[in-house]
Amino acid sequence: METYITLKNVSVRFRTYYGSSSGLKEAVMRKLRPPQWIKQIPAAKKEFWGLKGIDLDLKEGDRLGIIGRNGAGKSTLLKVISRIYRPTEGSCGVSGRIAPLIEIGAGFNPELSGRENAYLNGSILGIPRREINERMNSIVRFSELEEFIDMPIKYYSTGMNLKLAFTLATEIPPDILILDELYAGGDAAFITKANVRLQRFVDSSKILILVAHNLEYVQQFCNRVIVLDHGKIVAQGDPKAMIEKYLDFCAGNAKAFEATA
Amino acid sequence: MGYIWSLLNPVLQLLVLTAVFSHVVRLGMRDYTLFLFSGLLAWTFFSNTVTSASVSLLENENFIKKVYLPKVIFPLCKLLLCGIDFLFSLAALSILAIFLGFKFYASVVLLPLAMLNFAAFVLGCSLIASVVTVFFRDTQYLLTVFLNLLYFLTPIIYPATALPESYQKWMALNPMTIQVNLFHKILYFGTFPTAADWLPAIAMSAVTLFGGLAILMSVEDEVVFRM
Repeated sequence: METYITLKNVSVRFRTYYGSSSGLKEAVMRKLRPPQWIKQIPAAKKEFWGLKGIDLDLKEGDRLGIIGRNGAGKSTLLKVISRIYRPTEGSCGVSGRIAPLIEIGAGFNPELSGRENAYLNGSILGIPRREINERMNSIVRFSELEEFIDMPIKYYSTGMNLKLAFTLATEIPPDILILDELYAGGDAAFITKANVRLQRFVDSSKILILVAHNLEYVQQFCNRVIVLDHGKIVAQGDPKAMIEKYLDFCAGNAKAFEATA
Repeated sequence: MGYIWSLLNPVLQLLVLTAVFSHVVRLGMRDYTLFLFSGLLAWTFFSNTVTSASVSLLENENFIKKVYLPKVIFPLCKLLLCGIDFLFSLAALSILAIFLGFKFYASVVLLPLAMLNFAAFVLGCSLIASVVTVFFRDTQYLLTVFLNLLYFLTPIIYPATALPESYQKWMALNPMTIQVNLFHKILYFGTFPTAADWLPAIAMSAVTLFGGLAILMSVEDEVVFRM
């Protein structure tokens, strides 16, 4: 089956709900209040668009880098692709097995051991128990967790969590690998090893989507880059050109800040 | 050992209620313990499942926000957990019942069917509770009160016949009464439930289950934005 990702005019709207206003009590009170009082109640909802009109087409062999400032919509876009968020408008079609590594330790249960989490994560990613059994040794070896694999992962360090999560996501190459801020917290030795594995994955020509503030990785792994700002794609194309454009933009931003200070 | 521990609660509850109602408040029923046993088991399964399922989406916020999973998994998981608990309690209390000299009637062969039907009803209620709690956070506190009320409105610790006649027809409107009635017939009265017992119970279960699924599916995509 062919692997692809197609986003057509995707927009995602967020609403913010203030803690106390999301109860049944408030819902009833709003209904009961006389109409003339209603104006005095501050608007309980505010909305903003996390993504606005995103068009994206990815085919096998595409290695997409997403760059942009904090809050530009990078993670939201990844969540739309991994079906966590359904677009408020537009459509999103994805074919292929996805391994989303959106946040380190996503889908882990802190009370369970590393080994048990491997099974849990496997079943979330759609890998049968038998296959995890077969690969357990290589998972333990690659993640360098020999002594800690049977310890509840709430005692793991950030780096250990990362190693386990990265190993599980890439142990059986998925059709679509999604990496958000990978390697944050990993040591140099592990990062080198992970790079080799990732390069091998990239060569086997499925889809990779990478979000990184470390632009070196984007340059190294990606053959296409989009720049996001305020939920929109502001530029896309060749990695080198896009990175330069983004850095210029950031430099301009810093200058503007200096000028006002 | 863990299993024995989880049996302590139903056994103790049964003993306390038996002591109170056979010595303090006298209802003048034969085999009161057996009556209590048949209703209480069903009630405990219902109340434990709905209570834990009501927060099942909220407490799995971590999963829902970071990986895609069909939302029905979370309440369903609670149903299975409580279902296993239920089966163990059933086994333990059955042994206790035999030990106390009660006999089981031939109608017990219908118990699996009644349980399956009841499980569908409980799942339906659980789905609704899990969704409602996401949208109205304060309902988790109301649920406790509501369950308490329902507990006393359902013939579990007293038989429906202990009520004045004029109240009895109102009691028949309580969905739990219809469900618990099956368990009473099968385990306590030892009679085979008739179509008049089964039909309302099965209809109720089907409506609740499909209603619950429909509600969950209609807001499934909205849930993650409300976490």
